[in-house]
Amino acid sequence: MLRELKKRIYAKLQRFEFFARVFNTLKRTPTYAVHWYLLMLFGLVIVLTNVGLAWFVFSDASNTGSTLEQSVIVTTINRDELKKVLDIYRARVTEVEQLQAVPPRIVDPGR
Amino acid sequence: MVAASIAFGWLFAEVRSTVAHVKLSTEEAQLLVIKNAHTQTVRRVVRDTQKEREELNSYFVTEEEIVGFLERIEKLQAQTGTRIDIRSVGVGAPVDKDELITPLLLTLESKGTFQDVFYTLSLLEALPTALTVKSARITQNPTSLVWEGSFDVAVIKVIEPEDI
Repeated sequence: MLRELKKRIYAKLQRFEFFARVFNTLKRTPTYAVHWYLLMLFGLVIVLTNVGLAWFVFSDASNTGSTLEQSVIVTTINRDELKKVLDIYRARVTEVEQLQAVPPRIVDPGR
Repeated sequence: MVAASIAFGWLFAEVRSTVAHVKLSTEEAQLLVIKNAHTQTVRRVVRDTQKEREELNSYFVTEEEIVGFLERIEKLQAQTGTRIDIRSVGVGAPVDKDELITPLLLTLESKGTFQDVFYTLSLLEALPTALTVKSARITQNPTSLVWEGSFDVAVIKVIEPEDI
């Protein structure tokens, strides 16, 4: 039963040029060498599985930064605002000096 | 085979925890670097603006300067030729959460000619101090015909950190 299934699969794969070439090579290859090839294939599968697993598990290890940047945004002294406020007070100093030198002339509305 | 699988699993878990630890340490180091850079920036800004900040401080009234400030207002009498009385002095609600900045609420009265009372108001408004005139009423006494000004003024009073 199993042998029959193997034969069918073999016959179907033989139709493809690639598999036909592989099977031909295997026929010409000594049995002990095939074992080594199978072992190498097995090793390759294990290595690829490891690499895939590691990539999946450690992929988020390099994702840092955005939350850090957000957590340290702190306001400092705004020089423009400071200058603006100082200019207002400096203007007041000048205004007081002008007022002290020349008092405003206002007409008394009661007269 | 089983032993190798167990060893592999254990090693994988070890590497995983080490990577997590390294990641955490890297994040902490990055945070410290950013914080340090930020602190340096703040220190530089504070150092560079010291002169301006001192000038700005001079426009605010501190606890010790309240009496001097009130005397300064009373001295305006000589300039304006009116009588200035400080009717009331009060303290408003703190402006900041540390309660270092509070408005000092004053009610001033000025009596004299209309021009002198108005002059007093003009000088008060222009005083180079963190002062705002909240309301001003200028009325004339019907019998004496003297003009009376009543001004509600708010002055920003600050408590300097060394006073705390």
